[in-house]
Amino acid sequence: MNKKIISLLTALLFSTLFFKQHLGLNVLLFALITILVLAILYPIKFKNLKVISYALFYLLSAANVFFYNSYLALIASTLSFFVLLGAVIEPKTSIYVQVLNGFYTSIASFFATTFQQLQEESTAVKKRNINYNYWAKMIGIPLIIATIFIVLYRSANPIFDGIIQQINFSFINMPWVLFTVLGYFLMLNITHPVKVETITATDLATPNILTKKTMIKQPVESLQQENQLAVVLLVVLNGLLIFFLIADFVYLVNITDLTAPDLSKTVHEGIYALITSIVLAITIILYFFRGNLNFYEKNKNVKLLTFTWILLNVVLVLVTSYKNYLYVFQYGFTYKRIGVFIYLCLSLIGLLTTFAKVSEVYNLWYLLRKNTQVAFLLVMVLTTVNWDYAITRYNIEYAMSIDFDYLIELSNNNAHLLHEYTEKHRQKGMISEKERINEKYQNYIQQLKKNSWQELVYDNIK
Amino acid sequence: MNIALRVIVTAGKAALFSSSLLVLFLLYVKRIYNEWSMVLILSLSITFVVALGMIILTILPFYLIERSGINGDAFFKKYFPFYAIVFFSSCLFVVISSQFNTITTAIFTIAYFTAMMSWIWMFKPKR
Repeated sequence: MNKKIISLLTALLFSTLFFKQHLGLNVLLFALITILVLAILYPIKFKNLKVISYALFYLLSAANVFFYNSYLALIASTLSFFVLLGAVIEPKTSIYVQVLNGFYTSIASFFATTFQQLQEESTAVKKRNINYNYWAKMIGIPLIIATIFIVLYRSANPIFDGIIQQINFSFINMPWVLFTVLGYFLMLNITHPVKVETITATDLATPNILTKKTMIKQPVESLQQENQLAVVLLVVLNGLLIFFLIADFVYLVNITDLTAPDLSKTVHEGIYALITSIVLAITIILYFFRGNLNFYEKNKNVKLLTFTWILLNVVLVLVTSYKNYLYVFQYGFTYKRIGVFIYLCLSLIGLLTTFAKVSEVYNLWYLLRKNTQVAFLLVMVLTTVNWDYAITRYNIEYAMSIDFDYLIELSNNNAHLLHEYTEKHRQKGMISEKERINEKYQNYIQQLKKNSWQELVYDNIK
Repeated sequence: MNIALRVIVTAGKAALFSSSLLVLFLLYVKRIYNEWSMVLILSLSITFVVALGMIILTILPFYLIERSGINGDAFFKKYFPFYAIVFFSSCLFVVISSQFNTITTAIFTIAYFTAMMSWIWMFKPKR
């Protein structure tokens, strides 16, 4: 089928799904349509396992918009849409190049394709069936001149002016037309994938492994000095981190009853130390293992010290996780505390990939590729959790003190749960909280009732 | 066509393109049935200066650096993707910051399309 017809049909579906609608079921349906269109237009690409898995990720994140209606799910859905599009364009590229290609295609493919067509027409013999320039002139110029004359005649003759004023175009829903044009532009872009050629070509040509052949030759003396510097620096840094960890451990053993501000300060200071330590660790490791030191015969000590430092950083991650756990155990979950766990998880992965880089002699691109892949997977996994519900459930069941103000401020995903809680605890105090929770619940119920079929969310059918 | 003339012609086309869209938008939203010709003239002069400035400041420097090495087609392929990504992101940022205000959204949508079309007008091959 002609790509323009497909784009037009999907643009009409696009405006039906999204015009003046909130997000819900429409995101999932649009994901299904997009995948279907791409699978029809590029069936060979859809035999690739990577493309299939990205299509499933896109579907999953779009389904999560329907289930949880959260910003995270929406961001993940947009991200996985770009990744899928990028994978359809060039499946072998790194995930960040796929995101870039997907984004570029979505916003500017129309212009790049138009330019390409002009280029081809100028080099090839003119074979066009339709002369667009001719028709633009034939329609555009008379239209503009006629409009000018209409304006002149309107001011010259009141009867003519009256007749013109009676012409009524109000039956045309202009915002809808513009929205459909936007949908058409988007679908036209999707159906004509383009890539950022310089970055795609560089990425495809760059391997993950460092090879001795590609290294710039370095004098043995200079290499020896670099090795010695690395040993001294890593011994000092290892010693420093061991000292820090002992002090931190002693502090943790001696604490008995910490207040929320104390715990907050402890966790956040731990995080600052961790950020600095890990960024420094990775930067220093990357600096020393950027080239010839990887192939130096006497690099065993440096490697050992590097692995020890990575291990100590892993211990630092675990200690900080424990502190954050204490904080959560005492005062419940918040987004910030969950964010700390996510950051710790990413740090751990970053350290493991750095370990792999040094032990298997990979390059910087390997680190970038693996870490962005893991970050993408993590985002996909995180969207499968209904966070507002999970935070509320944990806090009302396990936390030693409940911050209702915080829970009420969360999205409507916890409205049912909070309402159930207040129903169960009718006798207890918290009158003002009960009123606010009830207000939130009633507003949400009203909102659910108002939802059109495009805006349906899982709570509508529960 | 030398580069100076090409820049002026592109700015002229950009001004005509963006002003037409702007007047159409204002005709619909503000119903400027009686003042549209004045708005068009005013808009043409403003957008011409803005387009000229934008081309001179954001496209021309790269072109002048690169023109000895590559032709218009290769230049377009090398720089256009980054220009499009940065320009779109900036416009999107402004639109989101304005909380999707109708006028701001319309102006920056027109600016985006005009900027992209300017690249085509500027580097399209001679017939």
